[in-house]
Amino acid sequence: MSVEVLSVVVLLIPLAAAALTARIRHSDLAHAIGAVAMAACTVLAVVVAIDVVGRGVAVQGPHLRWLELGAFELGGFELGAGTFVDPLGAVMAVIVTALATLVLVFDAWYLRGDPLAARFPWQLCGFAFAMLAVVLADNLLMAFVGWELVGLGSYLLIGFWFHKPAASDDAEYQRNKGAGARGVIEASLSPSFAQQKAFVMNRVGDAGFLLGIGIVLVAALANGQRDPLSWSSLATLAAGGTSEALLTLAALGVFCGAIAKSAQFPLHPWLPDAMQGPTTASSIIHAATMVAAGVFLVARCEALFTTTALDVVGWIGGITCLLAAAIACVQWDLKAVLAYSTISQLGLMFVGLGAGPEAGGRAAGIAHLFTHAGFKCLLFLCAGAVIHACAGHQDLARLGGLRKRMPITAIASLLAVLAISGAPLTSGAFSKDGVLAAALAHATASGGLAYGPLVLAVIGSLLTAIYMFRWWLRLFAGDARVPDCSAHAHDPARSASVVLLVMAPFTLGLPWTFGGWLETALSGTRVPGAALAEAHHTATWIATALFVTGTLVAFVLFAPRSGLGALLARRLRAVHAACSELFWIDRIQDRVVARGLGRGLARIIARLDLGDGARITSLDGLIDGLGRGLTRIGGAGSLVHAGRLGVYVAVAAIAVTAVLFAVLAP
Amino acid sequence: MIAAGVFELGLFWTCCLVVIAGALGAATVRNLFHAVLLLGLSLTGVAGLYLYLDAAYLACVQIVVYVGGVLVLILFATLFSADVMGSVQRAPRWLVATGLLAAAIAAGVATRIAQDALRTVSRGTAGPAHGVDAIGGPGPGIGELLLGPWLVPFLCAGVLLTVALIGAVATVKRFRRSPGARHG
Amino acid sequence: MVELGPDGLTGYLVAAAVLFVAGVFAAVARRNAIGVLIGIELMLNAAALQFTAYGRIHAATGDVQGQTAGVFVVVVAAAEAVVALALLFAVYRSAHDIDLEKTRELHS
Repeated sequence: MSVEVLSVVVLLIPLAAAALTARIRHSDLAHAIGAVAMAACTVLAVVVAIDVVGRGVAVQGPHLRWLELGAFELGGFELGAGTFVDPLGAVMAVIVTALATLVLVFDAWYLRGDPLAARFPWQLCGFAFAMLAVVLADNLLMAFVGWELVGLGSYLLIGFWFHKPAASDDAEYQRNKGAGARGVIEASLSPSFAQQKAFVMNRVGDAGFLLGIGIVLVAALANGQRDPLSWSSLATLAAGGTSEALLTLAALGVFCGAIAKSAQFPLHPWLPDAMQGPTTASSIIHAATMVAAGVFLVARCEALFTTTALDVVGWIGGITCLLAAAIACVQWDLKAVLAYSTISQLGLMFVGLGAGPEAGGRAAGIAHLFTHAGFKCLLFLCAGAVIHACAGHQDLARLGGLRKRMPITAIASLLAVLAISGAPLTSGAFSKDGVLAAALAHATASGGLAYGPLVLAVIGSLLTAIYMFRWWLRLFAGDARVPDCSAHAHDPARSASVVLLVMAPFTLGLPWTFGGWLETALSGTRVPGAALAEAHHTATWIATALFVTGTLVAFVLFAPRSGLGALLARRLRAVHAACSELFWIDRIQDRVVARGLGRGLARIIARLDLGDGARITSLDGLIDGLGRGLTRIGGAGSLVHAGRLGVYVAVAAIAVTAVLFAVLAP
Repeated sequence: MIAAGVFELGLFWTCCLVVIAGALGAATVRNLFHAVLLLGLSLTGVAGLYLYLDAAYLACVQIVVYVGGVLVLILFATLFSADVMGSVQRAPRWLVATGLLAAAIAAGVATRIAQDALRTVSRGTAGPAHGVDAIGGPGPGIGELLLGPWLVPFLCAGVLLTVALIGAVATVKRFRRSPGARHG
Repeated sequence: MVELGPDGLTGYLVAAAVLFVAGVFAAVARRNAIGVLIGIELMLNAAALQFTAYGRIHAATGDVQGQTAGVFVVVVAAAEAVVALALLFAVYRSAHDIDLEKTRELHS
């Protein structure tokens, strides 16, 4: 089978798996079918990737024309759906399918005994299909459709335990919650609320995304493109088809969508709340599917991004990177730390992307996306294992000393922590070096404000090492703090432990750097310039220094029986409070947007809709009035139609007579 | 018949009076049974008038179909009424008033038509040809008319009768309904 | 005198007019369905009588078209009587009476 056809098969297998598993009530069977299907899909994706990456080409698969508007000679155009595989998409597809497979295997153990467990496989397979639709799309329209489906998938998975009450009413949550989790608004922390929050925040971003698509469409039509939303059309536009300002606007529109999907400041609060879903769902959302879509799309639409737009990307990424890292340092919920770390790492990716193609930013950002997907997924699976082992406890202040009881989990998560902190020879070091090098090269070339994202990213990376080691030390080092929590802890069952062991090697640098395949795949045959090589050299030193410093600080502050962390928190009370309160972003959004703006608008609409019920100044009143009026007319009519035959005959007779008179009287 | 005697004239007017009195009675008598009988009287009077109009066939039809058929049907129908004697329920006053109004208007129209007709006739086109038996006369008889120029209306009348019969049976017959349904 | 005798129109017209007016009154003012039916029969007869009278007096000699129309009226009257009777039966079955003032509800 040719690669073109194979790409379609890869895209459709998860959809078929979702359809198949949706009808199966038996959890293990559904998981097994889903895992087998996704494994097959992974194999095919690998075949495609080897071919595409090996040849270094982009393959346009079959294209289905969906909409043809007007004749081509008269400026008509067509929209459709089809597959497009370039090295970027091919590798992404492999990661999506592989992680989905592993997560399914792990989840079969993780959700065993949950009455809703059979719902997980089809939602996950559908989620994977949606993400593949974004990854393998050959035009912006199909990407947008996939994008929305990704939103739907995350909506379903976040609200997986839809019946759970709000955190403030949940006795179990109150018993297990982290002591320092003060910034969270607990009254609105339930799966059903979190899924709505994610959905609504993504709507905000999607509005911008749609606007961007609209601008591209109009500009491409003005430029006479036949297939205005295809990737080649975007490249043509960027090559001089349209004005710089319009291009920037379109790019910012697309980036607006990415801000929401990839949880960047200021639309990031939905991601920590999304932890309300199962931890396995978080592991896929945070790694391969949901948040990756934003980064991926920005990379895909790279052609649109002008210097101005790239600066915005870099700055937003930098701010998010530092902000989220700072928050992660003071979280006590073990999943919250990971959630904020994801936001921070996504910011780092955008810093890389914002450095621009000349500085190798795209390759660096995407490489970090790939490696991050590996170790973040592993981290979340480890977190799931810990939560499962400790009967739902997630509090870093109570758990501890788990390395003896859960050796596999401890080692796997240590590897992942090393990777995310950027330890030498790990995958994280490889990609983080790249990002910092790109940012450095860009800053050197542009000077001035361009150093901003770099500085933010550097501080963020330092904090990453600190909070990740804090996380690991508190969970696995030392002795059990509250023995009840972890008394019966043990490594996950064999099938789930195998998943952790399979994923562990990918936290090392070797699988990613072997033969330089990833770099070649992402940056093509472009030979890096001397400036970039120089920057890379410097960045390696910076990253290593950051790792060493961060790790040392973490050990000093958070080693078992070290009181320095608490002391520091007291000394830096203002900073600590700001971080604990999530920089008040959640509260401000809740106050201003949700309550102020939202309720104000709702009140106005309610007034317009309901009114005071009596008058017809509102929609409701108008409809009611209409109904009342019609009833009145009917009532008047019913007086005549009283069912009295005599009256009918009389009326008929009189009418006939009248007609007769009219005819006869000349 | 100009030379008809007083007896014949008297008989004619008797017929007219029977028709008029019967009609008025049928319309106003409270007892329903009496009303039907008075209707029969009126219809018989009309049959007599048909004879004066040289329409012997129609007179026969009137007697056989109307008085013998329709009237009997109506008599049967009186059995449905709970109040044949009309002693319990009187027509409400406003209904009678409406009836009077309608009747007055109808009378106006009838008068108007009659005046028109009389004026036309007195302008003197034709009177009845005497001594000619209409049925065996020079013009075509009813049968020839019905099967000739009036064929289509004749057939339509047949269809109408058939449909009326089927419709009547369909209306009266109790159709089997689903077990849960209420029988009307 | 001719006008008032059997060869003139007047007598027939007066009789037909009274038949019609009485029919209208009965159809409107009777509260019993049979009364209404009687009224309708009266009106139909008035029409038939008029047809025949005009056909005899007004038209050419030996023309029986008026009578033919009268025959049709009788046919229509017969059909109407049959259908009316069936309807009365249906009404009776549902309301146990054919008093039109009582059967005003459109119930089944």
